[in-house]
Amino acid sequence: MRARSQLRTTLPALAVLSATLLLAACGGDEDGSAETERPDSFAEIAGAAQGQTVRWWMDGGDDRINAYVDDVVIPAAREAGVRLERVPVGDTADAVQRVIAQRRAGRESGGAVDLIWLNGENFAAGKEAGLWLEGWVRDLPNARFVDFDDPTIVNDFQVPVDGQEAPWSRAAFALAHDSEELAEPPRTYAALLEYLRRNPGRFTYPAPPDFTGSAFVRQVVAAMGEDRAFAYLRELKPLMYRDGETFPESADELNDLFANGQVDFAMSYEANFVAAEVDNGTFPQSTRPFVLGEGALVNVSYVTIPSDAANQAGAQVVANLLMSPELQAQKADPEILGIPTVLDVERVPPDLRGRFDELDESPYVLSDFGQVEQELPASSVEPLEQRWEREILRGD
Amino acid sequence: MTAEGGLLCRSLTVSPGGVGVLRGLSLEVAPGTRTVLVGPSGAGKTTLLRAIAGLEPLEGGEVHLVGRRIDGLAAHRRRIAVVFQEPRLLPHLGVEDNVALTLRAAGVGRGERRARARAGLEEVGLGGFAGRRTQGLSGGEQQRVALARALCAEPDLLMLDEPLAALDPNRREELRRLIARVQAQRGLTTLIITHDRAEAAELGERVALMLDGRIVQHDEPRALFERPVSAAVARFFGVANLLHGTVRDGHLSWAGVALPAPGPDGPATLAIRPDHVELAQEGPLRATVTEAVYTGAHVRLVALRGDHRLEAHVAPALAPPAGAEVTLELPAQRLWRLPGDSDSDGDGDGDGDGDGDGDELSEASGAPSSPADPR
Amino acid sequence: MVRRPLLARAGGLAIGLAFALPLAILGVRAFADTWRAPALVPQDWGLRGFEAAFGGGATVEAFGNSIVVALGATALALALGWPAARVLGERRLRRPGVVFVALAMPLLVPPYATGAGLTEWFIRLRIIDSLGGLVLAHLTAVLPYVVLVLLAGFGTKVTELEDMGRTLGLSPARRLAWVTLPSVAPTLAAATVLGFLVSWSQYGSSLAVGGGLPMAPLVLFPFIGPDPQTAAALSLLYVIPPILALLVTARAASSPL
Repeated sequence: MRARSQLRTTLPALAVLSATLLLAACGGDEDGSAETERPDSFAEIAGAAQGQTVRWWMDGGDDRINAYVDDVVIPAAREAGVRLERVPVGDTADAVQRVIAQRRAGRESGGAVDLIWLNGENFAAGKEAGLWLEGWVRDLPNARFVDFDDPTIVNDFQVPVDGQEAPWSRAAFALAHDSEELAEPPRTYAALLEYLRRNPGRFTYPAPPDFTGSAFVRQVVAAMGEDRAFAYLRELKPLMYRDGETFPESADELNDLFANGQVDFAMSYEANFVAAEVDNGTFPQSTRPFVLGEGALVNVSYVTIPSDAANQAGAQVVANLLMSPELQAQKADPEILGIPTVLDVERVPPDLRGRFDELDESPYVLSDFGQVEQELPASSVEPLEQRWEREILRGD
Repeated sequence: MTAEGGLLCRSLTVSPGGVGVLRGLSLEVAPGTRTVLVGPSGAGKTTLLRAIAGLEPLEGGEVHLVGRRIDGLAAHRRRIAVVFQEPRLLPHLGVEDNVALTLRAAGVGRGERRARARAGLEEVGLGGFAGRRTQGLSGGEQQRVALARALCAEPDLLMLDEPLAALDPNRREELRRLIARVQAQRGLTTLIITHDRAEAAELGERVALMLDGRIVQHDEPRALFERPVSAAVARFFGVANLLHGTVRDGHLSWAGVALPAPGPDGPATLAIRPDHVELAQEGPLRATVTEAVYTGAHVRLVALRGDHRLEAHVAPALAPPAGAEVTLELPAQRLWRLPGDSDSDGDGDGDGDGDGDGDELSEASGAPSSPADPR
Repeated sequence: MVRRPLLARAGGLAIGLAFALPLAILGVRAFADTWRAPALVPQDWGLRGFEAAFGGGATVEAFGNSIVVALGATALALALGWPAARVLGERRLRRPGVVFVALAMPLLVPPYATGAGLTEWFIRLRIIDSLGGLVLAHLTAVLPYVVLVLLAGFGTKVTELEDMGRTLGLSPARRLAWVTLPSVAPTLAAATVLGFLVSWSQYGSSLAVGGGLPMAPLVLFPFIGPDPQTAAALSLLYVIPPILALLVTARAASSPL
């Protein structure tokens, strides 16, 4: 879900990409992971993991996710005999950089990065360079609860996962409205247009390449195709906040406009954002999330293990834990995080499913995202942003 | 070498930064006396001072002070105090603490330090300044503090490097008198450096002229002005008139005029200061004034007789205008025949070079034994 | 005491405000549990920011590590920078420009370029993932600043004062304590504070070379943007060590030995 960190800036991603191309060019014949002897069963892995310290490099900017890891995952790992340390990073590309540096220094084991939370460009770049441990995901006991036929799970921004990363979290694109001001929001693209004809200036979205604004554009493109989507956005523009002359620069700015009552809708690629913003006091308590169109744009984020990681067994134990019904249910709990699970709840045996069924209905968290839309390929993001700037912002 | 108890430098060779500035220099300062080391800038005066103080390493030679050899000692063990051109006061300390710095280093107790610092300040005329900060002081006052600090060290040798150069002219006179008085009262062996020949004359009991890393004449001040040992010394001390000719029977013929010149026959140079050239009513030495410049104290005349040139300083009231025909007189008792000078091209740069290394001192000091006796 | 002139007091006030105002804003933000945009003051006050700041438990360790590394890197930089600055400052080198550019190189090259290469070399040299490695990594960033600042303090002036001390009978140790250190104290203090600050705020090399060792900027940076309140709370803590360093060194500079 927090693809934000993956795509927050283009520059580090480009740097990673060029570095990996360099690696691919000069290090094609070495392949540390395939030769590594792997234990036959997960029991052996769990045994080898005892006493290991796993360093999990992950975006550290969300105190609720940090708290979930600190209060739920770390104790669970400890119970499994693994010491888990959270390495907070501001940009996931930094973690990939470190793995690349290790590879370039000729080290094939003992790496300081045991586990990374990522998706999209960072995963694709590392996969291209052969940085990741392969073929371990399906052997995890909890993998049996995952539907590997789900295209949103086996493809990461349309790059095949190929058993190199284990699904952990899910993001979905949602909008929000204040139920006291507006009881029933426009739920289709046509209805939104109609609403704005009656209430001009009450809607806007952050200007791409802001992460949220870019996701909104992709959501429209995924729903109606690129050309129709741009026609729609052109139609929308004059009806928007300040006649579409200016756009907010960031989701934070849009949230402020919404909180001040200057526009009627907020939006985010984080399914639980309403809960978070109400929790931290930015949004009024009457705020409610909703999905625009047939279904929300979704992506899955994963954990991956570098092939040179010092504590691979421990990392696999943690990855398995992260997919356990128990921990996924807690993550889905609106009281804790309210992030949709990556598990196929139907596959979870009834005796383990209880927690999912008992989940409180939270007014701040959606349980149904409709006919979800798969993310576009990572490579198409930048061209779309450029087209938006050309056709919508400058209005050529 | 008689400087038992004074300063004795023998055959010093010093090459700061790899450049040979001093090559076999010797110098002697008698105990309790004041010697001024004078010379143009670049002559090596400061290098010599730094070498004596231990701030510049010696490549060769010896330094003796109060009968002991000190060139192997670190600077802080030599018992030499230096007053530099800039006062070099520590900005973070007040006046009294600056003066008492050396006492503190010697382990003198606080009370006594105070008393002695105040006495030192009293001595340099800064009685009420003990409690002051150094920042507000004038340049002259700061230099006095530096002097008091040097005196407080009760050194075996006091050296002052252009101590007056940074002061405005009115203050110089005051401080010059102060230095002379304090030195005399304390009987301190003192070496003062200056580039100013007038200052050298006023401050020095003895004056040593340094040219190109050598001491070329070391004598009482008047001797350097009136009895230079070479053309170069003469020029440095403002003896503008160097008359070359050949001596025969006690007279040198110059521009067709016979000038009294005692000593053996042969080529010789007579020197006379411009202020000793007089205007006369009549006489053989007639010349044309080509320049008459008023300088405040006198008028500087340049007179030509054919190709021969003479410079004279005359009282403004008596000064003829440029173009005037005048008669000049060179009083016999003012004419000085340069010793040992047999070449007549007037270029005295080679003077003294014939002296043995390290022996210039005795040669130069022996200057009064020259053939002419002006008195 | 002498009455301080009006200008000096106005200057002091301005400096005080320049320090206090951003801190005050940070302070308000840190305790603002609810703060919707147009309001001048928060709607709700609370400690959510600080709870999140200390949530992981690594925050205290991170600050400790950062202080140790910053002190170590600064001390090392002073030890190395002192002779370098002396030689440069007293113009004893024939080609000072070359040395100068070499020293300033880490400032001229983009940090990204040095960072990646540095990590690689540290891995090869097996000094990675340790506080010692971090000290060395920070040293590369700290040293040029320290030398550049020290350069301002070392010049012929200091040498002249030292020569004075030598001729007044001060032994080398006393010369250092009574003459050299006091006369370069302000510069030394500035170099120390700057060195500490540069090390303190190293994000990239701390992450890459530390290999996950908790460090103060690593804890703070991820919150900047996504969570202003926690970022503000951490920032309040983050500025304490540098301010302490500033106060201690300013005191050391103004009351020398």
